[in-house]
Amino acid sequence: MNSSFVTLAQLLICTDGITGRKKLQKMVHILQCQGVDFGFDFRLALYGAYSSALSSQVEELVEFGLIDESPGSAGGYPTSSFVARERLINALTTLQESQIPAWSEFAKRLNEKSSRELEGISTVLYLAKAGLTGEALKVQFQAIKPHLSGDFEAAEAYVSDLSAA
Amino acid sequence: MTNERSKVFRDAVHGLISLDSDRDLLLDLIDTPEFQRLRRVRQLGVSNLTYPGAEHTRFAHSLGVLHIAIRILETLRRRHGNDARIKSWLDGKAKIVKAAALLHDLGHGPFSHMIERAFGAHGRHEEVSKRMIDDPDSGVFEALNRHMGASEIQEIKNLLDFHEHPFLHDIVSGSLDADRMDYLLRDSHFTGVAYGSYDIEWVLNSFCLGLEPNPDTPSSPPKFRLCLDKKRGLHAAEQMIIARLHMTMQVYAHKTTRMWEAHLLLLFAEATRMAESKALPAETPAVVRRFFEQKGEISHKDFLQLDEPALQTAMVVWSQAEDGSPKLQKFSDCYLRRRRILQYQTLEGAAQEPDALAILRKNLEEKVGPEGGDWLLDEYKFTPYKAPEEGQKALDPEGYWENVSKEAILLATGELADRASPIQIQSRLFQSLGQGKMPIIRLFFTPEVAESIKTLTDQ
Repeated sequence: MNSSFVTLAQLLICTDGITGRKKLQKMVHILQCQGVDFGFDFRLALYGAYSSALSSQVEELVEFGLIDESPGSAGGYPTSSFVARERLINALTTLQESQIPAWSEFAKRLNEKSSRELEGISTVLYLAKAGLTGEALKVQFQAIKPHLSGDFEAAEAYVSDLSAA
Repeated sequence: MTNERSKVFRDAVHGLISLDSDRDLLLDLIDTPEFQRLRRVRQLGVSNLTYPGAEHTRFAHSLGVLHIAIRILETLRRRHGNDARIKSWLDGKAKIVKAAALLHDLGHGPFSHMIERAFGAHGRHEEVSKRMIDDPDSGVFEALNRHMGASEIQEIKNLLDFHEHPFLHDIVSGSLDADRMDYLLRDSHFTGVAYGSYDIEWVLNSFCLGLEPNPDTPSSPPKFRLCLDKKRGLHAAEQMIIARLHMTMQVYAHKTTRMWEAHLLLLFAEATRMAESKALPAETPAVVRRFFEQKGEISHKDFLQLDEPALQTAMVVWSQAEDGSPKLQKFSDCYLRRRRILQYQTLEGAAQEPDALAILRKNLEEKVGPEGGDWLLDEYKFTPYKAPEEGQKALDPEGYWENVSKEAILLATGELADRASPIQIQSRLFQSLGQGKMPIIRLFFTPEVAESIKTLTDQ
């Protein structure tokens, strides 16, 4: 099964590129929580959920010229811009996986959010999956992400909307 | 051990493992059926077919991890116990750390990595471990409840993932955690591969705390990370990472071991297919039948019986059964007799690139059959040390710091106001190891499809 290679490629192609490793990590985590099969194992890290295997796969795709990493910025802050290269698009064609995935609109909406917003959403999703709810989830969120305390309610509301949808 | 509740275990790797404080909690956990089951699950699965001495169990390993966690806590207490915050965290959370260290492998099934791959359920053993901690059916839950309340039990469960004081999490799960420190020495000792040895006493002596390395992380409230002392720990860490590299090349990625893992994976995939159509041999042990029919999602009671002897008994049955399939019979028989079936090719150069692999996989599926039938692509992608290049710091600072925070071995001065820094800044060895990727990609296949495989791979 080629699921992680194909799904990651489809993500980069349908969004026309993603700015920053942090944003890419959070987007993949959130999409995976919503049932998209990337096949990565996530742990909680400095900026929310993080997958070591995803990090390695991105480095590999850059190294072999399948995605392009170039200087970009987000909110005036320097970051990398990741865009699919022709070689990756051609690989999907050969694999007959070039169709636009059903989750592409959701991915594009996530891509419009800041990496900070995504960090909050990703952390709420992670804690919820760990079995925390309500006040316990809020307390844990604020303990491990004190710098995001002000963003908790928005993140929680977004995750509730996702569950309801 | 005597009939009285002993507080000292003899151990081939660590000498003596002593349980002093929290002894009653720890002994109650050790005495549970869930923990005792780990005596029947070996640490290295099929490595004993390559290294006959590799018979050590997850039981002994879990005691070793507990021992190292205790030693790390002792070092931190000696080093930082005069700081009121650190002292209160260590006093209050030590038993959480010890319990998490002891229980971290509870959910491991027999040959777990192979079973998980056969079921497409990577990482399941960690979820099972966490589930057992607050499962009312488990002896572990009962034992924990005798000693603590619900919120502390939840904290043990969560510690393998996160903690508001990150250094506590680092002790049980991180780049330099107690798990890795024990298994390197234990696997080295029992396989006889001396290259896996390193100076654990000096590493333990060097632990200290430092602030989260990212300078943008607020220093209040402080987030402390588990670090090595800059002056003492560098060379011991270098030795340890070399040990890890050698153990990977000589033990974990050994071609014969990986071949037997592939063999078992194909056998378990066949058993799964047969279980789906209720075609497993009639004398298959009932718990094994349920295990394959339900793809590992079995009851707690069944899980306690699902160990290596159960699977080996099933293989003995399958090797002689006339009501199974020829493949089930042959693969079981050959495993028990250590008679090799599978051939392999090592993919190198351009064949290792991600798109080439994806295309090869698709071609194999179309022209030879589904993966897990007569072939298997084994991608062992090992990097001795994952470290971003320093150039990434300017290009993508958040990505750089996230990577460093999660992957790096951290050095610190030991002064609690100072930030930690990643070891590769000071160590040329870590810099060069961090850039070296060592993919070992092998295609395993049965003789029946050898010609088709060679056509597709041009070898």
